[in-house]
Amino acid sequence: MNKKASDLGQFFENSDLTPEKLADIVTEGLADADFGEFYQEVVEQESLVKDKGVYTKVSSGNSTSGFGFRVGQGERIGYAHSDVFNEQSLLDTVKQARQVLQTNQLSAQPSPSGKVADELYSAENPMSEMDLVEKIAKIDEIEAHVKNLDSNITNVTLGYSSTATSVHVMTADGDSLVDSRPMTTLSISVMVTDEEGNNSEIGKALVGGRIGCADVFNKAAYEEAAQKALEQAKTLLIAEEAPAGIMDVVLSGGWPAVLLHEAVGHGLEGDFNRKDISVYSGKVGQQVAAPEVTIIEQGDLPGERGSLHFDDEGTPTQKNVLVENGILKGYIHDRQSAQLTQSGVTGNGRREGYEYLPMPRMTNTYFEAGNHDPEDIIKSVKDGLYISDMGGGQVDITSGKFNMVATLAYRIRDGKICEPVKGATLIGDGLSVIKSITMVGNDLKMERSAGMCGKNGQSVPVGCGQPTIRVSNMTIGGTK
Amino acid sequence: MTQTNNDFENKARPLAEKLIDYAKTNGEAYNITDVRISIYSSAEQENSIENGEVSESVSGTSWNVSVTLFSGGRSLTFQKNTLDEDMLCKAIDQNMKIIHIVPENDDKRLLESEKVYKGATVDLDLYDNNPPTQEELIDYAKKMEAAAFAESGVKTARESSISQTNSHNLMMSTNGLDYQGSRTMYQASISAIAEDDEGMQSDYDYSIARHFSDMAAPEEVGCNAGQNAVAQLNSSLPESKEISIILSQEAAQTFFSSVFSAIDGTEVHREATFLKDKVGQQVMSKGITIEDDPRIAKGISSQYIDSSGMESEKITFIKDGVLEGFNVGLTEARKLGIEPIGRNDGLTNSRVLPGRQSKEDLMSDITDGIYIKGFQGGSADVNSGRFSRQAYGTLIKDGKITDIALSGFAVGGNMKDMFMNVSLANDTPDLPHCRYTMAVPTIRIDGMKIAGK
Repeated sequence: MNKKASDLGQFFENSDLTPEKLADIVTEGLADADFGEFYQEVVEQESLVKDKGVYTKVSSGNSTSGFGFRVGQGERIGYAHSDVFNEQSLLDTVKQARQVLQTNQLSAQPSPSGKVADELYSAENPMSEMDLVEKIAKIDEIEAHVKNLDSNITNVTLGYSSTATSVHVMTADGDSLVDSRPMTTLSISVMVTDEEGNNSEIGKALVGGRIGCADVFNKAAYEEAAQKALEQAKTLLIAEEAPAGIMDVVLSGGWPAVLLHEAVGHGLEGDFNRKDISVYSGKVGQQVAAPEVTIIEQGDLPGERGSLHFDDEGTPTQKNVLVENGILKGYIHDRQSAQLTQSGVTGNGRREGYEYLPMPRMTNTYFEAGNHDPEDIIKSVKDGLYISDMGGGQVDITSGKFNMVATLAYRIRDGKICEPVKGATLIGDGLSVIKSITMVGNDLKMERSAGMCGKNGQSVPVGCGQPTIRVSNMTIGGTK
Repeated sequence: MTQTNNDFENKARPLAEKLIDYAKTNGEAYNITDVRISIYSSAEQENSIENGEVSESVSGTSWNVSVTLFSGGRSLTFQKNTLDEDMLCKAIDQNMKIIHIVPENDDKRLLESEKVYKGATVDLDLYDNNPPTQEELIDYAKKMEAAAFAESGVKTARESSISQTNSHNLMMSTNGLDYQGSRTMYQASISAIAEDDEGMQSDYDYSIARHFSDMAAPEEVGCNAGQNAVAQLNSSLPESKEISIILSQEAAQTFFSSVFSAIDGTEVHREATFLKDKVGQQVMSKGITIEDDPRIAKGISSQYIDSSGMESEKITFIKDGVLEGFNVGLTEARKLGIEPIGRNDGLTNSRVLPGRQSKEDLMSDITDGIYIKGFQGGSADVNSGRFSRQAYGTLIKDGKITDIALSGFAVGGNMKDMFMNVSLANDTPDLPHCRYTMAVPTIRIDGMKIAGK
């Protein structure tokens, strides 16, 4: 991330526009706006899929580029985008976007505040460390490795994809912000069939994040993921159907924080709260969670999946305390919701790409570590459930109700982790869950590989994390 | 920001011809045997209304060019969103040079040229030649919002929006495929939020059509969203037990999507579905017939050929509960050693034929059950058969749907059993439909586990 003019070059290739000309048009187009920006993207992508011993997808040299111009006045937003970057299409786009404006009212244009963080992730192209031959050889090597792990493996599916997104944002001050955002993923899926050949289960694991291809093809990294996928499949094969009822639940650290993301994080997004339609609306300053609970939303963490040097509106990311010792401190905002609620910007204006409008979105959301030893947390439960892996889930932000599937869980009896169970559904509402947290571990773990967040049809990568957490009296939907 | 079919043709056709010619001429040195080009263009406009005024207006155009090179059994694809011929030729050069390192996969070869459809263009009426003005579109969204607000108990509405998309597509390849088509699509939706002393509930409704004149009345869409949200106020968690459930057409769509996942060619080839070896066998209750008809005029998923160039015709996947065949693309068909079926891009307009009973008769003997209005997330694993989805709806008492709202519970079971315990009402809508892209009736499934309190 930097503002050096040399990095701007790639955005102006084959265009009759110059950075100066662009700044003239953008500053004029935004002169009477409350907020808005020019947003440009150049995305390169490649992917490989090997399934059942055969390459089913080989795609290399993909690219998309385009820009959008957004102008906002109060509640109104006009946005137009194009994949042809030249003076004529820029002028057309500005004109089209501005049609939504009613009058030429002049108002203050808040500039992004805060300092842009130092390098959170590498600006190098994540695909360039290896050539395609080497990547194919690696996939073959991983496949051979996985197949040799267990004689009951009946299929292995491997997927690799890497994306290099270069972003260029210009706000009303005419300054260019440039960032290179890598995202690379290796997925390993293992099917295990029992001795009789009657039942099979699939385990999945990922290696990925804002890293390059050499990182995901690292031997130690893929071996760990392969082992995890295999263990998951084998455990699911012997797991019993989950019981139903009300139980004390221990959520393991890391990925199970997806529950926090869904059940709490979405409800704290500024757009819902400005419209007073979230269960958390109007509750700033109130005790909404147990005193042990502190929830952080932070986009400037080095190396995390949802980290950004600046958001997609050009606002530097920062650490935002959402809940501190159980008290609701604030929401996350894009510039529109920050302005309309007269709050400070938080660096959470994000979008899937240049064809979309930004809105308040999470980056990395986590529970801060507490002071309990995770062993003690498990020991404290007489009869409950230990959740080691979660599937996805959904939340209704107006009622706060959520429902999440625990891919793999274990019964806890008399403080000990016992038999595995599958198909458990965690049912509840976000507010009740954070009020019912009775113990918070000292083992905070961030998830970097998984996590795509969907909102209004737009998908962005997010990070989440938590230490081991105990929630009392959760409703468990079982299939037994 | 729209363009006519002629504009598209004038840009796309010469470009496709040039790229094919370039790859063939320069590809000899690299043993390029075949080339496939696909060019797609779309123009979109979406307007959202808040409190009677336009709150968001988004518009844009986009192009996409996809080039696949073949060298015997090796193939390599790239996509770029540019019409710049030099840039595309450079990318072709780049991929030609490395195609020899791609592992061979004969199943990915182009469709044999004798199987490519070369007949006349079939007009399926997918392009609206009388598009509405911007004002008419905005007016539609305003009417939706006003109708939702008019429902008593509705606190607010959000995302009352309507979008219009024009798209054009050209596919050309060296096996003789040459297809060009244009489509329009209108999509409107609204989410309503109802509130009482207990809190807030939200629900939505939507409409979708190829022609604007076929959209549902905006008042109806807004009113449905409002009524649905209000109906959920005061909802409670049902008790955990095993009962019979009735699925609304909305919820039944979700259920039948799982049936289609279970017969999907990719899963069958991976042996990751419990129906992998069940062709010719009874896999669902008797009386269930599922068809897929790509030739419906104005259909949301209509097509007369698929992206491989094969003709698409009506297929029956499940007949009276017996599995007739899998839903396979060209590559999966070859892997499985069966004939391709003209569904290289997946299902088209699917329809479950209606049953014999009325919706009322279907539930008349249920003394204690749940009417599921919709599912919200969860999972349905076609490998193990595990089905667990969050749902909301109302209580069924003494054979009738009550207005006692239930929410926050999960419906669980194993699809191996569920598929054999389905009965149908006679209310399957006809396609095209202003709301449903998959037409299914209200259905009943017995022996489901409810996870609640």
